[in-house]
Amino acid sequence: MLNNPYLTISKVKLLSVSFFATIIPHFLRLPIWVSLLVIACVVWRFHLSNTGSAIPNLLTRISLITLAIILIFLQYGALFGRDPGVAFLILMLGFKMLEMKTKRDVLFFLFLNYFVIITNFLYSQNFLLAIYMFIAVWFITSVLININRLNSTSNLKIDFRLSFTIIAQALPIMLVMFLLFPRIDSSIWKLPEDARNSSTGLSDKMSPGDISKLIKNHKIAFRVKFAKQAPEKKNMYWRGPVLSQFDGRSWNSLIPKPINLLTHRLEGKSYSYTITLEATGKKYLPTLDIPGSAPENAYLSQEYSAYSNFKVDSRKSYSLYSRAKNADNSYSSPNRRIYTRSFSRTNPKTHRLIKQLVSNSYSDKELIEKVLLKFRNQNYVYTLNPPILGKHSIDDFLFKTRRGFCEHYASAFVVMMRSAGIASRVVTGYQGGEYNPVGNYYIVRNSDAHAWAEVWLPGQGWLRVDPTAYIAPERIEKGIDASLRNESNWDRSQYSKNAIVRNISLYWDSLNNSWNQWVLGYGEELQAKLLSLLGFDNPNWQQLVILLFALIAMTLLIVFLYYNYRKTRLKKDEAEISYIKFCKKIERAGLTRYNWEGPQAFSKRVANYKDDLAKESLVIFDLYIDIRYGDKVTSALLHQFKVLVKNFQPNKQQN
Amino acid sequence: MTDMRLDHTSIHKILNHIVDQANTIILGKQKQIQLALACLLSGGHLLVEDIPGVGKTTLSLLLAQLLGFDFNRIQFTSDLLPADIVGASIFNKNTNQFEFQAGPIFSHMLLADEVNRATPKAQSALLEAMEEGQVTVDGETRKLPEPFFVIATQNPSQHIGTFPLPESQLDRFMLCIELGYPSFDAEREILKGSNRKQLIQSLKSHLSKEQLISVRQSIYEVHTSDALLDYLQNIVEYTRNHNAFDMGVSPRGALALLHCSKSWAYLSGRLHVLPEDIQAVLPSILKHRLNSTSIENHELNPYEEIIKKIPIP
Repeated sequence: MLNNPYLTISKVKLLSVSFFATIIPHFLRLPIWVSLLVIACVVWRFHLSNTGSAIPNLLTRISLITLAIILIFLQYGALFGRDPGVAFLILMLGFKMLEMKTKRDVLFFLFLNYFVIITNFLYSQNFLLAIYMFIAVWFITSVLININRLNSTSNLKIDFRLSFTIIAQALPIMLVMFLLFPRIDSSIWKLPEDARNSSTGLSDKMSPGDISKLIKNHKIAFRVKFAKQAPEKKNMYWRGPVLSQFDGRSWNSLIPKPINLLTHRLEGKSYSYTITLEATGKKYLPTLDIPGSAPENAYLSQEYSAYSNFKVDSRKSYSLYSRAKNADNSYSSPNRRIYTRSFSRTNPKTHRLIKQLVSNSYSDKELIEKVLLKFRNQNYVYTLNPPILGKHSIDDFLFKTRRGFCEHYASAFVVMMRSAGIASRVVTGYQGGEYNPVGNYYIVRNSDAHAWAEVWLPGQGWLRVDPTAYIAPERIEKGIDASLRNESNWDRSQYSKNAIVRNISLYWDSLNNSWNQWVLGYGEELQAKLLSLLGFDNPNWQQLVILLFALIAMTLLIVFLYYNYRKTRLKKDEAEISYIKFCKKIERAGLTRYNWEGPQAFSKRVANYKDDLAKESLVIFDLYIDIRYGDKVTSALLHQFKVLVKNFQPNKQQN
Repeated sequence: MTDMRLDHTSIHKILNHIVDQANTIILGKQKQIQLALACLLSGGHLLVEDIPGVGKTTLSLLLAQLLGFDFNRIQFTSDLLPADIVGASIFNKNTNQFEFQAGPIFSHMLLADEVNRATPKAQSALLEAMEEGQVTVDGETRKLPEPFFVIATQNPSQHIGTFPLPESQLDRFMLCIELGYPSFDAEREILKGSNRKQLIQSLKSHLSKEQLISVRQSIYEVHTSDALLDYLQNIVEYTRNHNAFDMGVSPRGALALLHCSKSWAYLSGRLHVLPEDIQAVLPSILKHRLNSTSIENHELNPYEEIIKKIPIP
């Protein structure tokens, strides 16, 4: 134990650093006691190596493990799942440090490091993390090399260089595997349930205050790339769930029913775009206001919202098109029982006001304009901090507080319309977005969340009416920050950056976007595209595996040939190249030079082999020796040598 | 005399003659004799490692005689003291002063017989002198004669009563050669022939000390091309990175390889070094420098194997 060469202090230092490199990203997430316990194990290991004492006895080890199991169960209430699993793995790895005795233990420990480092990907698949993990793997590999090299003059620098070479050699194979490994139905690879963190996004319910909560979240909701032209920012309404059911206070969506795409007709300018949606944990897929169809594995509801067949638990990318205008010119009104229901028992004042307005208006259109004018002219305030509303929330809002957010206005407007008998509904979604000129796409954040209204007019179908545009036009024209910059609890850090920081963050986002799209988003679909580019249409997975192995073999061959080439060709001068040609010619005459054989030794062997060969070759050998090892090299000599080699024609082997 | 340096062919003739004469005394060991000569000509010290009685001492005597050196011999024993090697100051009653009595080390050629039978203290007294070319006794530094050669013989370390030389001191010997048993014919010749010692006495030196120094200068100037240095460095690098060896060749070892190869090339009548020269001296350069951890596994000499691992383009 005392003189174990694998567990000297310097080796333990390396092992600890590789251990920490593996788990440092976890430290932020792990409960503090796990981190402390792990650090304690490392310190203990140092103590063991320092004093040369024996490893803790079996009883201690078993009690430690039992303790860990109990603590983990107390902490998480479970032993399986992502968080308890990772914590358990890390603790066990820490205990393994105490248990190391032989070289095999040390190697085992390092291999486990490779395994545990992958768990970082269960939490984030960020570009930076990937780079970090590459560096960590580089480090672990260096330590592995160092441990295996029982050399008293071992040099860490050499180990680092070697391990870098090893990783660099592995890269092409990694690439081939990444591109071609069959993407089997993702359910096999799915993360445990707790890995899907509660994502933020729109809900299929809305009560006052819901959207203003979402708006304080500056996380990215989705990114949009338009194929050609993008609509004006003020026309960028990103449609989410439509809320049609009103219970007097909050709004609910109907159970979505697929639309009949044959009667779904649109007109006006068409926009094609690709949306990369961050995980929401819900099924809705935001689209530019009225989409022409639904993306794959999704459907379009009768209320024009797109719904995925599965919950969006991971980043999802989809392409579709939308057009500017609805071409629904039917005169048959939608289900009035749903779309005009307004609960006359609540909000009595509102109903009275509307009755009065209806009697003074000639048409639905005029009524709508009157209501909107009321919003504009009667000192309504657009604010993130509206006062709390009472039982008759619309009444309170319209007549008392007059301070509200988009959801208040949309909700009040729809209630008023319904009270007047006009079919209407609330649409939630996002409005606007930040343009990223680096990657030519728009970033839409949760803070861009919005709610607006839709009314149904005969002959025109559903029309978008956004009351917020009348109260706070800058919200629509310039974005959320313009309308809220004076609010006390509006976090402006996202918007008030100086130009350089802003540019950097745009570049960074663009990089992340590409990473998301091409690396993380590389799935069955992109793979199929790539394969069809390579000329394989719809290969089954067996063919894919064969292709995979063939490509790996090819990659290995290329790497091998490259190294071979470098070994034989690099740093070669002209004399050498000619000499190699010369040796090849002799080889054809029947005598092969050993690659370690010097020219003089070889010339002697040639002389012993065949007399006629000796006569011709001796001059060349002597010349080569003079050029290569002598001190009077001239270009004339070199030229003479090259000519001699060129003209050297040994008789073919006669057998 | 000054022209001697330039007259390469005549010197080469003399050297050839020396080798030929040596070969008539020690039979069937041409390679070893040439290696020993190459070592001495390039100013290195020689270690001869073999079992007793195969001609280690004869070889040393022979070289001293042929090169015309005065020759001292120390038989290393376990009770040998440093003063027995370098000498000591002795009080002279007449002059009332200490007088330095030079030890056997003050000679051109010293044969340290069975060097590994002495204690490390005595060994290091010799080895310091070898490295510095001078000895310090009672605070006074005295230069050793120039040229100064040490031929040390050593029994294989498995033998009883030996103190193996540490690596750091082994590195100071340029070459380590083995003599080995003579072949059947050579042994018959030895058994039939006359006394080797007497034969050696009858030989004549053909090389003056001045000539020897100029030979050393010429050897120093033997050309080494970049291609050759590449090859040499590849070998050195290989020993450092390969896990069959505990330790690679030191820069001093690399220099020894270079100088010895030059001297070998010179003995072969060339003024430039070829890879073959390096290959010829390499096993003897490496033998005492590398501690092969897998010697047992090799059927062949591991130092010969290295040659086959490094390609010559």
